[in-house]
Amino acid sequence: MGDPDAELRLLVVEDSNTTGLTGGWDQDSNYAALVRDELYSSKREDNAGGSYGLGKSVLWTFSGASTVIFNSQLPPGSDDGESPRLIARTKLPTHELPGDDTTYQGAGWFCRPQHTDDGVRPEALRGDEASRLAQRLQIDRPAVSGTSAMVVEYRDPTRDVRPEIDELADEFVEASVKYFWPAIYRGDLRVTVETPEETREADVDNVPSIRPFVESYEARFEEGTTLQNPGDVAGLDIPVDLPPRSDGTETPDGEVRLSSRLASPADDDTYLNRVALFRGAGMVVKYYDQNRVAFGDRNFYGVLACGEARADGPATESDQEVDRFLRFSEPPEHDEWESTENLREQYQRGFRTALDDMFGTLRDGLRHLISKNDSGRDALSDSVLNHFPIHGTGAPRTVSTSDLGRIFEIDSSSRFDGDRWVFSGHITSNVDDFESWTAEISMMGVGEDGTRYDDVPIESISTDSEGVETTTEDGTVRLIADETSKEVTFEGHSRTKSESNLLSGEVGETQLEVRAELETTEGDQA
Amino acid sequence: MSEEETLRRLTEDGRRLVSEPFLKGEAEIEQESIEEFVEPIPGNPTADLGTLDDAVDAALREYSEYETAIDGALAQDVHQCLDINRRVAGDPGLWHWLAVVEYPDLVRHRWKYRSEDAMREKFLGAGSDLYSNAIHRLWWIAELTADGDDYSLTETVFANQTMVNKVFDRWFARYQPAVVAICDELADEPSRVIDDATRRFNHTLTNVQLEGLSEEDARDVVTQIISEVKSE
Repeated sequence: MGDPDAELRLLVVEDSNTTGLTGGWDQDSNYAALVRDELYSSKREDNAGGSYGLGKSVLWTFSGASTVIFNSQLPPGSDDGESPRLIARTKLPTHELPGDDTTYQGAGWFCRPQHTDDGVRPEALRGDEASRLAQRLQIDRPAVSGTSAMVVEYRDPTRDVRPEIDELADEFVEASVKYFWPAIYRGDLRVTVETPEETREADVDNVPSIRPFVESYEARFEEGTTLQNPGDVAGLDIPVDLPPRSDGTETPDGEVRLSSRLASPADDDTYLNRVALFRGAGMVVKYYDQNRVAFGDRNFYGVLACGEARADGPATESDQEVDRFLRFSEPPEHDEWESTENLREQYQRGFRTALDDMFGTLRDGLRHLISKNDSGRDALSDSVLNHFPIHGTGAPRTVSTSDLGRIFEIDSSSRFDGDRWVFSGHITSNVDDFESWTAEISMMGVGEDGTRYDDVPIESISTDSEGVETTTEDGTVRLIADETSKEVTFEGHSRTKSESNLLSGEVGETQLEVRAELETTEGDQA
Repeated sequence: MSEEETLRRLTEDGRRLVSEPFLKGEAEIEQESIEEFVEPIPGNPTADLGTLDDAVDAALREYSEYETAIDGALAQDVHQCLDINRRVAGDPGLWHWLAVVEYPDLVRHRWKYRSEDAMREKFLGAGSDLYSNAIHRLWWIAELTADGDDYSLTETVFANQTMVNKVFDRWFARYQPAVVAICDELADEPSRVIDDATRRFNHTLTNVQLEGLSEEDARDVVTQIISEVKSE
C-alpha cells in the first residue's frame, strides 16, 4: 500500500443511453460481436459509427492482465432477460499450469458455464447476482441502458513510464476533444473523465489547439468568400459526385462544406494549416496537412464538414449518401478517406475518382479562401473560377445554379523576355448561347512572401478573332467578344522595362490574371 | 550587478488569462491564478531582470504614453539583460510571459488600445512573427542589428518607425546580412524611398536566393534599388 507501482489500475469505459449488449451468443448481435468475436462488428446499419469492429480489440491490448470485464444494462423492453448482464474475458497465450497436464489455450471466461450440445459455453451473470458482483468489482453502473467495460490493470504498451492518474485523465480529456469535438459541440456526445479525486468534463473550449477548428465550424456558413483579418472565417461548398451503388441505384450529387479560419498569432498552432475531416458520426477522421497551401503569413485552420455533419438541420438525402460513402471509405483505423475494399463492394466504378476530385477541389477551395485579396480585386485562379459558384462578392459568376459547370476554359502563360513580359493565352466559352462576353487581363508583381502589389502595365495585346475588341486602360486590357466568338487566342506584352537587371526590383515573380464574364441571352450575368 | 533570475514561459493554456479587460488595462491577472500557467524553459536561461525593471521604470517615467521612442530607449536593455540564444528567443511562451506577467504596464504604455486583435498581438504575438509582440520585437530587432556591443544601427532603426514596419514585418528580416545592409543603406532616406525600396527588394527576392547573399551582395542590390527609386 502507498506504493504507486503496487496499485492495480482499473480503467472503466462507461457509456449511457446506448443500446447495451443485446442479443444472444449464437446470434449476429452486439453481445456476440463485443464479447465472442474477434475483429468483427455487427454494426451493419447505414448509420453505424464504424464498419469493422477494430475498436474493441484495444481494450485487451491496454490491459496488463489481458482481461476485460463487461457490465451491461439492456434497454427497457429488451427480451434478452434480466439486467444487468456481466461477463469477463481474458485472452491468454497457450499455457500449462504446474502439476496439470492440460494445455490451456485461447480465451478464459469469468462466467456461468453452460453445457450445450456444442460443448461448454460461457454465459453471462444476470440480475441481482450480476449487480452485487459488479459492485464488488467496482464496475457497477447507473440503471440506464449502456455498457461498462473495465480494462484490468490499464497500461499503455507504447510507453515505458507509467503516468500519474492526473496526467492520464488530462490526456483522455484532451484526446476526446481532439477527435470528438464535432459530436461534443453538437451536443451528441458528452465525455467525462473521473479519477478518485475529481471529475473532468471534455469541453471543446478548454483545448486551445482545437478551438480554432470549432470556431471555423461554427461560422462555416458565413457569407463572403475570402479572409482578410486573423480570426476571419469563410466557407465554400465542395461538390461531391458519387458513383451509383453497386446494385445500380443512382446516388444524388452532393456537396460538403469547407470552411477556413485565418490564424492569428494568439492561436495555439499545434494543428496549424490542417483541415479537420469529419462526417455525421462527429469524429475527426484526420487533421489533413495542407501546409503547402499556406504562404507567407496566411496560415489557417480548416474544417471539412461532410454528410450529416454538413448542415445543422436534418440531413438531406445527398448528405446521407455522402455520409454512407465516406463511412465505407474509412479503413479499420478510421483515420483516412481512401479507396477501400468496402467501397469496391458497395459502389460502382468511379469511387476513387470521386474521392480524388473531392480532395482536389478542397485544395483549390482552400487556396481561394486564404489568398490575399488586395484592394477588392478578385484574384481567383482559373481552376477556382471553374469550380465554384461565388455568391455575393460582386465577382463575375453570380449564377444561382451550381450545375452550370465550367463557363470558361482559360489557359495562359507568361515569361520574361529580355526587357519585358510576354504572355499568351486562350479563352473558350463552354456556354453555347450568349450575347457577348468580356475578359479583363492584368499583370501584378509578387513578393517573396506572396504579397501582391503594383500592376505591371500591359502595353499591347492582339487577338486572332475579328469579333473581339480590345481596349487598354492603365495597363489593364479588356477584351469584348460578340456572340460569334466562342473562343479567342490572345498574345501581348508588358511595357518595356528601362532596366532589365534581375536585381533591380523591377523584375520578379509576376502573376497574370484573367477574369472573364459572360452575358447570356436571358440577360443573366454568368 | 543584480542577481540573475531564471526566465520562464507562459503555457498555451495560460494565454486564456489574457482577457479583453486585461488588454485594456482595466483588469489585472492575479499572481496566484497565473502561477499554474507558468513553467520553466528547457536549459533554464536567466536574465538580469532587476536592471531591466529599472530601465523599464525609467522609460515609463521619462516618456509619455504611446511614444515610439520608448522602443529605442529599451531595445538595448532588453537585448542585454536577457541571457538567451536565438533558439530560446524563438519560444513564444517566453515573450508571452514577459509581456503578460512581467511588463504588462510597459506594453500598454507603449501601445494604444485600438482593437482587441491588435492589442492581443502586442501581448501574444511572437514565434515566427518578429513584428508583433511588444517585447519580442525589441529583442529581435536589436539581435539582428547590433554589432557586438555596438547598438548604433539598432538606435537608427528604432528612430525611424517606417523602417521598423517596412523591414521587420517582411520575411527577409530574418536574414541578418540583408537586414544590416538594408537598414544601413536606408537609414537617412525619406519614407517614400524606404517604402518603395523595401517593396522592390522583396520583389527581387523572387529571383535571388536570399540566404545566398553576403552582406556586401545585399548592399549592392539595395544601393542599386535606392538609386533607381530616387531617379523615378
